[in-house]
Amino acid sequence: MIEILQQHWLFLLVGDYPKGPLGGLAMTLLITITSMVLAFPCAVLVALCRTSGIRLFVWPSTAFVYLIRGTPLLMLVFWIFFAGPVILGFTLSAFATIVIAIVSFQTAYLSEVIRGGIEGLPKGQTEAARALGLGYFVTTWKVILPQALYNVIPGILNNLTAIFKESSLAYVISLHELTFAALQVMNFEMRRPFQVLVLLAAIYFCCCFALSQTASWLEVRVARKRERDSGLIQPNAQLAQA
Amino acid sequence: MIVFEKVSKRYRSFQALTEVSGHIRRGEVVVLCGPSGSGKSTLVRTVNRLEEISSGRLVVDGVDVSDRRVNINEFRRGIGFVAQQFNLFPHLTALQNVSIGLYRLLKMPLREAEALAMEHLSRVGLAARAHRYPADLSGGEKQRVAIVRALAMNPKIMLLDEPTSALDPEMVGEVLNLLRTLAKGNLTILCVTHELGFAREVGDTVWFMDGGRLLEVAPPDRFFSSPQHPRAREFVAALDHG
Repeated sequence: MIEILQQHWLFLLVGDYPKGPLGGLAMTLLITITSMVLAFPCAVLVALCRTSGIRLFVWPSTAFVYLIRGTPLLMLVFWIFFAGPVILGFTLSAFATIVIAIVSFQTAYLSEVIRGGIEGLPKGQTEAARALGLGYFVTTWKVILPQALYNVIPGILNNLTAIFKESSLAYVISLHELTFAALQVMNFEMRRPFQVLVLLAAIYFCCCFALSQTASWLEVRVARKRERDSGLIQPNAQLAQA
Repeated sequence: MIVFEKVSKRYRSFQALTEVSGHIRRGEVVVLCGPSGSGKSTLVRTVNRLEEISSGRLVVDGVDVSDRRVNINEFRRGIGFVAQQFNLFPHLTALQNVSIGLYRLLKMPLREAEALAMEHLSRVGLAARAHRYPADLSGGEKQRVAIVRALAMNPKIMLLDEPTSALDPEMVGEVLNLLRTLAKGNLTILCVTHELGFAREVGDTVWFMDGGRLLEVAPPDRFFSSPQHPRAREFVAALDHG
């Protein structure tokens, strides 16, 4: 197995790059990060629509969530890959296809987590903000979201790490990412499919483990920061004297 | 200042307010009494349209509250609202809780807003607690911050919905003291309270409600010594025994 790694590590890491297209783990990470960055704001937006109480926003967003939640991600990938060009009139790259699929999929799930955070807040919070005269946007941005998102950090991180594994589905549309690279190595090393698969699993596991560890580290840090902030530190001593 | 004309409020099958009529003069301190579920809170919350009225007319400082053309956020700025549960924003310090309205609504520069918020907090003896988060404040301190948050907007009217009911007995005094000074100023105050000593002392008028109706309006002395309405008599008698 070490042998396989020694021989193919560069291919598994970046694919044919720089001579050919980027692939391997680098591509997987690129898909993951792009999808995370896009899915999060989309999810917040859908969650806000779902909790807005305005039919015009509630219905489409709810329909979206139910539709996406009711279909497998793999099917979504196929749909976008085959139906996308027909509807749009131009061809989507494999990268765009997988990113759109994952972002739609995770937006649906993540928005439910965030909706839970929003609805879990005491009603008095919105009420106090509105009674003060704050409008919807300031109330949402300054009062509701900071609390709601903070409360559901574990759920958010959980969903974001799942994206890393979901990116492996890009294999089915021949996008050169980690799984694709590993299966090419397997074809090359005809006699040792098992070793290659163990290696592939190990890479996924290590990355996911690192990601989860980062997530929990982040969680602890945010919690600590809140605790520290509530301590005796005076953030602006000048103002205290004013 | 506040005129109720046959104000009614129904929830689906529940009549919360039935044809409440009455008026509150500028600078008047009205104490709203009555058993639980009598519609006191609902009535208070109609004044800043936290509850929409179903029928009747409600005019506050010359503005018809139900009028769709009213800029509700601007309207609410002139009305302080303090709830039983304080509803401070837990992710903001006491100072930020008070300054957010000044900064966001009155568009003061941040430094100026914080300086003014600090001044307000000092006035109620909370300067030393200004940089604490609500979680680190006692119930009495929280409620004083909540009152200051409302006062900072320089309202003409203060609505208080059982401001001392969620407090431990030893903290009721500090909040009542603050409310006493408020009542001496020229604010128009509508306050739901079960603190009868306080009602007697600072109230100009007692409004007695039961079953969603306003049954009696009288000066405190007369209300507590010789209530007219049979339900009011029962209510006052029960208080004397309690």
